[in-house]
Amino acid sequence: MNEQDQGVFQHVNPLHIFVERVAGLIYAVALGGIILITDLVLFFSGMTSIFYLVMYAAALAYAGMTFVIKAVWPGISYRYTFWRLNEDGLEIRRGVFWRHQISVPRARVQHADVSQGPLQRQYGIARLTVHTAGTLNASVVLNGLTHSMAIELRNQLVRQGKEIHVV
Amino acid sequence: MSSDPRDSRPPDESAKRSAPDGQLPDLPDGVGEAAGKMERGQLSDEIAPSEDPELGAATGNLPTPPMEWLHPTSLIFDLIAYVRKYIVPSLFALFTAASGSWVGIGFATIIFVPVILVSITRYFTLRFAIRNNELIVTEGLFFREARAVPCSRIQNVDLVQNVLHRLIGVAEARIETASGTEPEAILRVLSLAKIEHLRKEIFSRRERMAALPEAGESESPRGMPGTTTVTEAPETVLQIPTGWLVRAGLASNRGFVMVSILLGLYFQFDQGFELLENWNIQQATGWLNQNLGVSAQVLIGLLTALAFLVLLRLVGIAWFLLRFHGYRLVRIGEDLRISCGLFTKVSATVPVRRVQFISIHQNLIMRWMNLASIRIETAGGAGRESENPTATVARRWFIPVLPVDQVPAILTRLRKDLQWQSDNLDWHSLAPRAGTRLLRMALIQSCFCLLLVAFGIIQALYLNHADALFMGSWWPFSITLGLLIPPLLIIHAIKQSRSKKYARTDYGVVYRSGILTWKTSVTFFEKIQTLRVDQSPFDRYWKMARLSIDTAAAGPADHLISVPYLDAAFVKQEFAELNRKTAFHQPRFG
Repeated sequence: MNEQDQGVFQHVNPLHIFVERVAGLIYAVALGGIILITDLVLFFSGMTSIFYLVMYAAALAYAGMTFVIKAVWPGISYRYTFWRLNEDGLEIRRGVFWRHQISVPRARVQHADVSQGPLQRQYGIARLTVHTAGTLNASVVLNGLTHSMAIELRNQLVRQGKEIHVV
Repeated sequence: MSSDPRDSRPPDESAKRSAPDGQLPDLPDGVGEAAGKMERGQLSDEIAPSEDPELGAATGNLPTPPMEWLHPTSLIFDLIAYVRKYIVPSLFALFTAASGSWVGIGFATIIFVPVILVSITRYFTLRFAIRNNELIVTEGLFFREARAVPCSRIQNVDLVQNVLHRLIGVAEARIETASGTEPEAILRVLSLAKIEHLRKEIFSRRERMAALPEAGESESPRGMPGTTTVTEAPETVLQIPTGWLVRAGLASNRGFVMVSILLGLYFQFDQGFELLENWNIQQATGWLNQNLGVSAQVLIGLLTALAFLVLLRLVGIAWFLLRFHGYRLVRIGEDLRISCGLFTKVSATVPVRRVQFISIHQNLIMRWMNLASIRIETAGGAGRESENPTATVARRWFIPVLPVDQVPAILTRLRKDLQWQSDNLDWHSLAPRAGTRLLRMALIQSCFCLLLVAFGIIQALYLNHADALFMGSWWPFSITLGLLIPPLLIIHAIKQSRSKKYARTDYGVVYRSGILTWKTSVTFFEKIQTLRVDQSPFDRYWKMARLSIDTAAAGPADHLISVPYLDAAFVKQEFAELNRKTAFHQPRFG
């Protein structure tokens, strides 16, 4: 992280959109496939009345909608997700319709994890989870950072909180 | 939690130090294999605890004190504790066994025999001692468990003493650390002399260790050396006279809770009480119907209701007296010690620096009588409080009752910087349009209620023609409900918009809410864990936001600092300011 980036709100890595989109589309295609197969099996086993046809169409439409949403949503969500790290701590803003703004002061960080899914690993994207001693927001997640950035953020957050007993 | 003693408890070391079980010498060799390999290697001879100097010599330490036993009556109290924990099945088993059926006796055997066996095993295997500045507790027959709690980590030794305990002169000791919900070790039961001795040993070691730099506490930037102040003279902060308790009992709904529990039990075992029920109620009602006129019956009904209400209040008073008789809050250095109880005496300790959250509650009746109660939260204090009498007293019923005008003085005694002048706080009400918004919501909900009325009217009109359509005649209910609820909704909306208030002070944040029961909660900048602002689409339309403040505690105080319907611009400014303050006030050791 460059020094001048400190304290400025920034987006997560744009590759995150792509990764999320691919993951979402794989899910949507799998869902659509299962629905299609079920539809065909039921249709050829003799359930061909107009009621069933409508049900088949509805199920397929649902899969199609899922496909569209999974394709579009990561881009929209990306536009509304920001984070910044300044001397006070980590602050995250997210949410398209329901907007959330969470701030974790540095000294309150108990520990932080960096994790990666298989797809994320391909593209060097990671998810940072910051744990506090709190109860309602005991863990705060920031998904879509580059792996190296996530590691650095984690080190920065943990290094300072380390010597202090937090509760 | 970084201060969790479980992290610093090396299991193998403590197992080595633990004495083998000398009381069961005829234990077959292979039995202890699962857990006891290490100690078998080190200490192959079976040494009885009384011959312990040899063990000390063997481990090369200073002469170690012998491993101690629980008090012999532990057997009984352990059994009682288990039975109480599973009170419903136990009672059921007793009842069915008493009726003499074989099934019942079998059931009772299944329940009680294992429990008795567990109690016996526990008594004959549990040993404890203080060695190397650690409290060591070993337990278990097949699966040996040895825990070593460093004395410096022990927050307090709490006591629970019920009538039976007091007759025999013993008590249940609970060793508490900062780890949270459960006591680190429960020694059930020890003689009072032994507990006093244990306490002295632990606290003297705690002091000695706190003086060493490696203890860790002194590293914190504004470290409060809480452990070194144990020797300070205790000062009584508060004593609750019986009169206050009686008034608190009058104000509380405890009686209602207790009676509903009793009723629940009654219905659970209604077979056992069948005789009583038949005789009492049916005969009585029959007699009433035959011998009295309608007005007399109404009178009797009213009197019964009144008597029931009085009974509820009396039960409430009794509960408060039983629980809190002789309540004393004492400050010893940086610890607060509470002791109270008429029959079962509880003594609990709360380190001041661990207080996360202070909550002042006043229900409607308490407000009439100018009373308040204070609850506190410590880290990890949430959870299974019902099973932990000391934690319940220390947090949920920290101060069960006190006059409102004494609240500021008490709060200042808790924390010197807590200058509590509720009226002088810089209170921020909800956003100016919050009232309008809540009212509009109430009106929308009222429209649905009026639909109910409309349905009722339609049904009333067409009842004779279309019975089947509306399934019976519930129209009077729907009309009454539909007409009653909207005014309540509207009143609720208005009250709600006026009741919530937020303030920031020099030391932290204060939030007040509640319509019937007022709850005012304080938390401190160094205790705030995360800050959060949420805005729904509706919030955005109304230019409002919700500000939530998370601390390490959420439970017994039954109040969260999460303020809805605040002005969005104010929240933005406040969020930044709180962020700065929270980051500036570094947490202290706890």
